[in-house]
Amino acid sequence: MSDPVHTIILCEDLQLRCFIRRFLLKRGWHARQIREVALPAGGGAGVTWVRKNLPNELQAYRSRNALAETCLVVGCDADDKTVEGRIQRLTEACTAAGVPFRTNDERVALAVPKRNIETWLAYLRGTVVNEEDAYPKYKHESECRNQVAHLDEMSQKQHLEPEPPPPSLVLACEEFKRIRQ
Amino acid sequence: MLKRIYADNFRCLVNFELRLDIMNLLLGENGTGKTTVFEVLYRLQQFLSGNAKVLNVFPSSELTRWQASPIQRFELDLSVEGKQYAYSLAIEHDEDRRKARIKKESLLLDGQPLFEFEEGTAKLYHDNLTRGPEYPFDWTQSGLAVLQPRPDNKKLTRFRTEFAKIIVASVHPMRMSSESREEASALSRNMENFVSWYRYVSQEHQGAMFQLFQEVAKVLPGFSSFSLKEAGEAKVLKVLMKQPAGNGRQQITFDFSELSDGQRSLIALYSVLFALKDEGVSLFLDEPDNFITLRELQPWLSALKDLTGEGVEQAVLISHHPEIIDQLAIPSGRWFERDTNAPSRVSDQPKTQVDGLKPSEAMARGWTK
Repeated sequence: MSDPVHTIILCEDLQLRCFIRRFLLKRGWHARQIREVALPAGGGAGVTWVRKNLPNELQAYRSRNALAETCLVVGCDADDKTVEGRIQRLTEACTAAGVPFRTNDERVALAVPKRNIETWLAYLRGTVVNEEDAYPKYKHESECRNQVAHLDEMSQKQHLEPEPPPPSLVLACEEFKRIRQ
Repeated sequence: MLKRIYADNFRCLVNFELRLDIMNLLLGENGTGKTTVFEVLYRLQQFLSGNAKVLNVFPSSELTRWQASPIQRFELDLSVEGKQYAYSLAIEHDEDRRKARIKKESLLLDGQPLFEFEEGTAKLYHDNLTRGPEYPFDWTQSGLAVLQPRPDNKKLTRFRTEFAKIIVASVHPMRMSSESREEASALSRNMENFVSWYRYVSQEHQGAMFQLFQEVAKVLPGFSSFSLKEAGEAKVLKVLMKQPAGNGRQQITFDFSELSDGQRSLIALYSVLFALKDEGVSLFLDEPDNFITLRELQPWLSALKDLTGEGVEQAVLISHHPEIIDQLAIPSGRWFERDTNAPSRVSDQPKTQVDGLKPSEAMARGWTK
């Protein structure tokens, strides 16, 4: 029998999901260890869809993690809200569903780019960015490969440049430590 | 990369145009023309690969039933390193006399002619776009296919080389024999000749075999490698598996035909991905999900997505499987439709967008129509 999945990616956006998956592969995950949760038909699922699905995925994570080490990566854009505000809404969604939000020792990481993943991609291309403006999208998600490689190099050195990096990316790097293999 | 395919008066394809991207999923109910598009491509490959007679490749019986016109047309737009090839073929059928002839065939590069055939006369153009020889040619086969490579027609022959890199196939493990009598440089439409093709690629692309074995080992626990054993005039594909520890022999050998349908399908699917992964092939795969377990689908699909645009030039899948639909329909869907006995139509979006449901569920409910 083949090896089971180890890491689940629950993400509202195809580009962010691709970015996270490719980053995990760079950091030692095997492709077969990762499963991406399918988005609903509209495509731009939005944070509402993540909020709706997070309690179920957290329950599944806890159930599975009791048997074998498991990770959950949750991705959603902050858009024009704050990163903290987004995380608070996720917390509230779990509470409302009767599922406790992640605890400090759980391997559950949040990636909340502000304004969105395109902000991180622009920064990783060397652009000086702010977290308010909208930056161009790629035609194909896979075009992020060079930016993923660049983030991988910088995060191994634990130094993001150019200064200052987007605060939401700095926070996501901290979040990654929760699931680091 | 194949950017556009056009067909007129072939089965359910009437004035039909499909534009393609790097990654594509053809979606739609049964009988909407998805596989017919693959068939057009495969037939054109046959037509352009040698001395095939037009009536053998495009028989008159496959003219669109409700069309009165005897003219059948096909066009391809192929992008190669930023340059645009445009191939066009018009066939005139005479159903009563069971004959067909090429009315017109042409190949342009960035709008400039490289080859033209019309009214029995072929015109060649050199790589520097100046006029070359003009000569009478057979009305029943491709004048482009028979041209020998020369120093001054590299642009023309490059088109043939690149077009031949498109793999159009369905995985039919029951039809795969483990025996091969000769090498095959191209996979057949239903992969019956998989072992002959493997013989060829394992010789021509030896460097890729190590990674292929590594990838297969992930989906077939215990897999060690393949070997081709002499069996009279043929060769037989053997699968070497590691023995459980402490069990005498180090390896145990199986005939390829002894594997399950699913295992043979997985081997074929990973082989087309990794054996040629740096060769710039394009993969047109019809229902690759058949025979594959749910656990294996997303890893194979992820590998395909990762390679496409890097080592693999382009991927076009046909699938009815929820796992593939849910991963690819949103970014890469091409939605086919067809009313009863009417021509196929295709769009980049479903007729009706359904929010809140997975694409597969929306399709299962018939709500995308």
